Amino acid sequence: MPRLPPSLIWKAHSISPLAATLLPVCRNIASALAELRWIREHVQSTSRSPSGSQADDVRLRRLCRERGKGVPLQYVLGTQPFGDLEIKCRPGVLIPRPEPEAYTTHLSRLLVSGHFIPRHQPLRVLDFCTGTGCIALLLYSSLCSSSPRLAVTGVDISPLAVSLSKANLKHNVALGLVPSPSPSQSVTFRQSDIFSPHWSSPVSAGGHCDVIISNPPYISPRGFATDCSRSVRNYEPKLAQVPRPRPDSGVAQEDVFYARLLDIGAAVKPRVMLFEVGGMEQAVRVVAMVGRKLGTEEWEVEVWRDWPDARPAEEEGTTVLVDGVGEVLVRGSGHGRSVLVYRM
Amino acid sequence: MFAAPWVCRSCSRLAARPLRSSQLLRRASTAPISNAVLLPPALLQRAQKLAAEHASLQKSLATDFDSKTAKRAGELGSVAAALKDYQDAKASLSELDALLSSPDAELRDLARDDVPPTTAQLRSAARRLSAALTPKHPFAEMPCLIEFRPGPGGLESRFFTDSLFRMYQAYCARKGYRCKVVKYETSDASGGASGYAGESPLQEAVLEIEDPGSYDVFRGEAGIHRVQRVPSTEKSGRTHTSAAALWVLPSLAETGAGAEQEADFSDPESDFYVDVAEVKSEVMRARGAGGQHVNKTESAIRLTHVPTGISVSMQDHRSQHRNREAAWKVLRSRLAQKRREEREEMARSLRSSVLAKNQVTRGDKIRTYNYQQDRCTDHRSGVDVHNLPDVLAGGEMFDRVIESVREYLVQNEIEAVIADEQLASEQAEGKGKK
Repeated sequence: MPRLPPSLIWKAHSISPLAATLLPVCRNIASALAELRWIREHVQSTSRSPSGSQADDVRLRRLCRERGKGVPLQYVLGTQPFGDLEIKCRPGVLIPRPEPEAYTTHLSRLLVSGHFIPRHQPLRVLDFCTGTGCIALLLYSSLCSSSPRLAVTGVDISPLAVSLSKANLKHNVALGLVPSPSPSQSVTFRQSDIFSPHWSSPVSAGGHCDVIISNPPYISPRGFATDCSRSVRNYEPKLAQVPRPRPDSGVAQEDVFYARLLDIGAAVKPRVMLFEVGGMEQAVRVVAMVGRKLGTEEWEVEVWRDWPDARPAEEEGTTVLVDGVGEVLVRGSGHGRSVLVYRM
Repeated sequence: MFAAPWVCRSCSRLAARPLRSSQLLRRASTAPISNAVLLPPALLQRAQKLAAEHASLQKSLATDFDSKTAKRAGELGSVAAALKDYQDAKASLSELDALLSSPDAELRDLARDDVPPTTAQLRSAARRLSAALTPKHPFAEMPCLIEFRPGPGGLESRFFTDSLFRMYQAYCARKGYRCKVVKYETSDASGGASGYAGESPLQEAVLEIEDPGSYDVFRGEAGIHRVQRVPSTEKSGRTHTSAAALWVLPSLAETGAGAEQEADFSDPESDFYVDVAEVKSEVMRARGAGGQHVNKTESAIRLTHVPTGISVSMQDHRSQHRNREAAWKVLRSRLAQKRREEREEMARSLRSSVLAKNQVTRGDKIRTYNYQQDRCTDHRSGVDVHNLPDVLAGGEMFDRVIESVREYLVQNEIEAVIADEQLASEQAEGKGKK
């Protein structure tokens, strides 16, 4: 990381010494001031003492120092907004990013409009590698009004993630951001390892599943060392980003989850599947894998960029050629971010 | 005997006589009563035209129902009802007029007793009719966004813009309007200086007032607000003049009537319609691969409407998603306001030039806040109030200013309607002659 020029540090210091504390991690003044404001708002809104007290100042300085050392802002503040929800974040569970927010919102809009599945039909959604539970909760909250019978299940291997996702459900119900679950509309979280030989799908007992969505670990060990930012490497769980090697799967280490998820998809036969990927190259590999494992007679494939509903920039193509599949539609603007597989 | 040293003879004679109500009443015979409260003929013509339209709409509704026609009929209903009341009151007054000149004394007395209540009726009907005829602003029922921007004048105008922002916030709090800060962006170039009473250097702010109908309350506030004071940064004590611009934009209500609202901005006919393909959106892109690789907290977004060049940037919230929604909201409102203003401009250019002079456009200064003289003056209504601290705290003095502006606007609009009617009738006559 390039050194910060002393003039910049001095300038930040003249605005506020706390901004200078945040500068090493924020890298520019505008973003340092924005973060300072958010931290200050957090301190004020959670303060137990009268405003402007000594204790608040001490706490503000402590949080700024912590953040300045590189601890993610979401761990410092304890939350991250996700759609209309407020998701609690704790060390050990991956922090929700804006990209999942964008594709989850886009997918839920399509589902609400009845694009894939006629409206008001019973809907069953599976979210693998749910982490904080953000995607499952956002889908649940936005589908509740249009699907009278809805069941969302979040699955994660980490007990820490499962307990956090349950806490997030409770938290958002308490805030009134998510309707509280009922017998006909439910959202549940369970711990299980989808690679375990004894793994059975949560729907195998009772019928079908309509939507599978997942933000699995997809970074290669090399990518983790070179592409990941320092704060991510040092503070966020590697478990959620780099898959464990599985030599028997026959694909690259970073793609093992997609192979497994597509196997599950082939067995369960949902209407829609959406998987986050780490870029256009990985998206192309996953699309090719769909062609091999599911075939393209029955299934349609699309690639979504970071902002699937935005206007593509001039240099961004709207199709991509994939070996064995052919031309595949690419929507939106940004990096290749997710692969949509569906059957009409 | 008398407390007063001297009372003129005629007065003392009057005081000695028993009081009779007829003495205090202006006799009906001295002037035709109905003239006192007559409406201008142009306004009446318009009322009659609208009432006729209402009647024909009602007739067509009886045979086949159409929601658009029903809506229009509902709007015209109040005009038709007020006109009917007015005409009834006028008819009974002229009847009374006739009775007053009848030879029968008893009948005359009866008629005389009836005159005051009927006149009152006529007066209230006239008021209602002119209110009903005043064109309701198409956005009047909507909530609004108020945008604050410093004018030229450097740091000082930024500080004052912050004062204005707080003034409206306090006013809303006092009046019980629900308001929300959509955007509050200060500049970082203050160098540690601060203005009066801890003002911060405001770069741009947007305040949303969520109550329906708040657009009508605040639309008179749009324009240039001028301040005259000695800035806190001024060393030699000179008074500076600087300014802040306020824009008041209509916004779409978020809750309630959700489906209807949704239809509202997806309908290409609507003022709020924005073609998504015409909007360029720029976000702070993480360098490199994005996704799980990075955890950027920069959530700024900028939307640009390519055909008009209107751009909105938003970075207040931690969630990019929410910034994007706020930016869309402001963009829609700005476009709707712009479209509306263009239409009004066209209508105005058709009107007589006399009236055009009265119109205040966005670029005109509308109000002055003078700190040294402790005074706030509105240049349109001409109202002058003192106790500036109370005005800036959104207190009762500020109420007086806002009320005077609203009255002024309504008066202006009635005049505009009359001018329109006269123009229309002149044109009709001109055509008739040809």
